[in-house]
Amino acid sequence: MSFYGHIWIKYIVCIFFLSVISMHLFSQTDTTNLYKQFHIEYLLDSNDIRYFYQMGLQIDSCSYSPLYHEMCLWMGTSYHYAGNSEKGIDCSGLVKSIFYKIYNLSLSGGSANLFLFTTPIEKANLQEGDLVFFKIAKNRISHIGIYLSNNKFIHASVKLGVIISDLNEPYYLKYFYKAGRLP
Amino acid sequence: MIPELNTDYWHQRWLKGETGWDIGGVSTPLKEYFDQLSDKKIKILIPGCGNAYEAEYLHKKGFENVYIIDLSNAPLKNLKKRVPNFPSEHLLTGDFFTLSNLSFDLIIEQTFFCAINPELRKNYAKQSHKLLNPNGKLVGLLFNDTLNTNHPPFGGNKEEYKKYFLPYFHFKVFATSFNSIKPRQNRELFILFEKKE
Ligand SMILES: C[S@@+](CC[C@H](N)C(=O)[O-])C[C@H]1O[C@@H](n2cnc3c(N)ncnc32)[C@H](O)[C@@H]1O
Repeated sequence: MSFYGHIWIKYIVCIFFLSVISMHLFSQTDTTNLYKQFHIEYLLDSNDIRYFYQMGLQIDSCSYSPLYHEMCLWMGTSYHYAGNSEKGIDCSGLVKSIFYKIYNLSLSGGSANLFLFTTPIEKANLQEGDLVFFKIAKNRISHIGIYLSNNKFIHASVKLGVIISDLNEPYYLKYFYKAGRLP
Repeated sequence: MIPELNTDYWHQRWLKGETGWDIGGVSTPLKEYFDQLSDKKIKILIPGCGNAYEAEYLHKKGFENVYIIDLSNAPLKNLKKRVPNFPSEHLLTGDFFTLSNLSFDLIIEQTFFCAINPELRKNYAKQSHKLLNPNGKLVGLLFNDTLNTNHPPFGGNKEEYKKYFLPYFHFKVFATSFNSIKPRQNRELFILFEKKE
């Protein structure tokens, strides 16, 4: 997916923010104020960034901030089959809500249906915003998540609700089926 | 100006019952085509299926691999209500133009081609070609009439359609349908196109 405009703008902004973020992580610089100056929509505050950092995710301006902003709103929501609200959500519901909100994409159906509208990509080429599919129940696609970076993905787990997990955890290694990208 | 013919547009039409194209059953040209098919195992796709009476008919005749796709899930629910044992995993909700990871022996056309933005027609030919197996066929009906220019159904004629399909298909049948339903008599072409290569 092309979330960005010109590569060079992305590059410059990226370098700039990377330095801002590293300053933040290693010194007392208040990134919140810095971000505020730029009036960028969906700002992540320093707590959010630290929160994701603790989960092994380095958020920088190369990350699509609306995605992380939206994720913050869902983290910890409990699992509810066929649910799609803050009271409870299932795995495909989470993907559909997030994609509708931040990419304005209306998607329908469960994980098996969603798989049919993606182009397959290799695990090694996964990018932020790609979808990861799992065959957990029987031999059918029964679970879906959104890939972030660094092998991490966000999903609504039946037991734990909305969480970030790692593709290399044995459980997800075992049931991983394929990765796909929406057009 | 053509409105954006997206999921919202079609879903709203389904919810409001603005479905003037719906003939309430399988059309004669398609029924007669289906009746002479012998292999019940072939994989069939009906894109922009609406209430999908054709799928119901095929299912009842014992065709096992009938898939239907529509942007709106409303007509898919209707089918599931009429035919509870139609396999749920064959009901696809989404955009025909982005469907992938599946391939078919036969694609059935009826009033879907005329419902999409005419700018997408070339894409329709390309996408049908992509979804078909070697020697796969695109079969059905295309209006041969001017119809509307700013909202569906959009019309067209044989010469125009040739441009879109010739790069991808061999034309086996491409003639005025002789067994159309009354309101569509002499206004539609029966097509049987075979995938090139
Ligand atoms: C005019 S109706 C025809 C329905 C059916 N083929 C029939 O003959 O009764 C067109 C249907 O195509 C669906 N549709 C429109 N664009 C679509 C797309 N890009 N992908 C899948 N379905 C689409 C609409 O929701 C609508 O149900």
